[in-house]
Amino acid sequence: MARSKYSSIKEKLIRISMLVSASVLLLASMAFIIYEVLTFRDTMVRELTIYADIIGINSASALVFNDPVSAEGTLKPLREKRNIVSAGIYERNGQIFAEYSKDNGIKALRAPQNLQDRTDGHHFEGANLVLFKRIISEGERIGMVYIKSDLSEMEIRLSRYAGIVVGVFILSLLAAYVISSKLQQMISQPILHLATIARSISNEKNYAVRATVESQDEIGTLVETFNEMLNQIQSRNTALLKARDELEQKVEERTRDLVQENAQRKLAEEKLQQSMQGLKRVNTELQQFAYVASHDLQEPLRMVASFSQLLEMRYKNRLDKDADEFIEFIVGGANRMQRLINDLLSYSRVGTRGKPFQPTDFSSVLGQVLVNLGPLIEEKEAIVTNDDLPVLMADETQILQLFQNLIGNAIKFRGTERPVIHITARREASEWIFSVCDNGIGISPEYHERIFEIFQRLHTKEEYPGTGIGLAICKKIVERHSGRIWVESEPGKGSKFFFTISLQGDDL
Amino acid sequence: MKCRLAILFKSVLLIMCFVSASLSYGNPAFAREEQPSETQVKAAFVYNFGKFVEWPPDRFVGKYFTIGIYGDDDFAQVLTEIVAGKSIHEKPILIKRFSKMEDIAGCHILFIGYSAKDHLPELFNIVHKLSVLTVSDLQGFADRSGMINFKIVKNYMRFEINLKAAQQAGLKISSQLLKLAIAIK
Repeated sequence: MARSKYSSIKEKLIRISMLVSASVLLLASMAFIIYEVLTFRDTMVRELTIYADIIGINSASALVFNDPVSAEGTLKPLREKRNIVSAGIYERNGQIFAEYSKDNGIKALRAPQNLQDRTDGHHFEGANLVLFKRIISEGERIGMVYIKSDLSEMEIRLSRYAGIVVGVFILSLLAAYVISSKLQQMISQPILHLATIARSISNEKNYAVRATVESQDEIGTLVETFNEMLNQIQSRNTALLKARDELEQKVEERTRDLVQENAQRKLAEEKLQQSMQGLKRVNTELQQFAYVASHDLQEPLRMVASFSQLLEMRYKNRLDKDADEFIEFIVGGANRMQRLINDLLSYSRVGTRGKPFQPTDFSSVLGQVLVNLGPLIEEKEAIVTNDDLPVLMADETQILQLFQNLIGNAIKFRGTERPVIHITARREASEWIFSVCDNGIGISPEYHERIFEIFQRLHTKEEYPGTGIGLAICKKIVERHSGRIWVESEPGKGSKFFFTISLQGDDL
Repeated sequence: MKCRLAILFKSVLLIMCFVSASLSYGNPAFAREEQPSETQVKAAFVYNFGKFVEWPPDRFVGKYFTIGIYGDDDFAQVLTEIVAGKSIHEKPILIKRFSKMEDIAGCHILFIGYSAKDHLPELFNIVHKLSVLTVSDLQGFADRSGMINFKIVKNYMRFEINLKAAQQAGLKISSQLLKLAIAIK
């Protein structure tokens, strides 16, 4: 690649020089030849005029003294001029006085018309030039010279010129070639040097190399700039390497730090797992405890309840009024306790008796709930409507419980009007949001959190029945389904209970 | 028809020739129409000699170029006719006739006629102090101290030149003239 680049610059330079030389030569030669061509006729005429002049001068005496022999003598030298075909001297009256003819035989001369009136002149007759010149002696015209010449000499001269031109042309071009091949080095040499250096640097990536400045011109400037560029590249290269090393160091440190952090985190995670396990265990224990406790509590409670009732039945009117009242209180309290324990049981059963999730059709669950609550709905003349409900992975029994509690509450805590309850459902990202809306008595915002706690009641048992466990159970069910439950409500403006059921893995 | 035209044409031509011939009679410029006489030729030559000779500058002041004639009145007449209106060396020509030898003075060329045939030595005596070109048709003129004498050779008018005599008189004769001379002494 380097070689071909070199020769093409050399070729270009040589070609330029040759072209310039050739054009200049050509122009000069053309000008020269054209000038010659244009003026050769004039040159011829001038030449012949000179001869005629000389002959006239030389033959004047012969003319006036009527010596034709002498006059012929003046014409003899014309033989030397190969282009002169014929010549003649005329007397004053137009008669031929002396003549010359190149081939001696042909007397091509005849007295031209009106010789007396003729002045000096010439004309071209075919391939010949004919010239007349008066012979004047002492202001008096004594005769006329006539010369006829062919144009061969001029043609020969012209062809000689052409030959010389061609010869000079070729020689000059040769010389131009030789000289320009030597001189092109002045330009191409530094360029080649620069190209070689550039290539070696690019191949070996050795940025310490520099090109030498050989000439004081734009190429020299180029080389200097090139070297300057290399300086910059070199310094930047070293800077880069240094930065890279520093970076590597930093990366090492960071990695070490990260590894450490990772180990620490792992440790923390393990601890977390452990505590989670512990918590789970505790939770399970607690649930079991709650279950067992409430289960075990049932038996003595039943004893108290049943025997109190027996007492009430058998001795109702045998004891005094206070005793009746006391018995009533005992029975009532025992019953309440049973209910409380039952509720507690069912609360804890949410966790312990939870079934694995199955595809659950919420619509049909709702239908079942309405059937279950049928009598209540009829009695309170409630209107229950709903949107389309999806099918999701859930515990069917618990969902039933959930809806039943919420709708039951909605009917129970009715306002002055007829209960109107609407159930909605909509999908939001990875969960479904359900709502149970009523036009009941509403809940003051300060209690929106408390109502979901166990046994929290906002009303006395005289106002509204219930143990206050319903919403707590709802919350536990919803949380088992990885959702959340909350309320939007204001006193006298109805309530909207929202809960979410998250999607378990794939959509249904 | 054609014949008649031809005849007409030729006769017109003839008349024209005759007319031009008669017109040219006496005009020495058309010498070919009419053969010039010997005297005329000599006169013409004498006139022309003047063109090819150089006089010393001190002798060449003056308004006229003078040609003197001694001893030939016919020649004088003819010469006067021939040189009418002409000039030599840019000077108009003046003809002087000399009847007596002693009168000869102030001329550039002197033609000596047959009457001086026997008095040549005295003549040369008078003229040799002057720069005069002496011309004559007397035979042997140039052998004596004369400068140019005419000689008819084969029907051609020729002349002989005594160059030495001319040089002694301070005259320069052009080579153009010399080359035409049949003899040079």
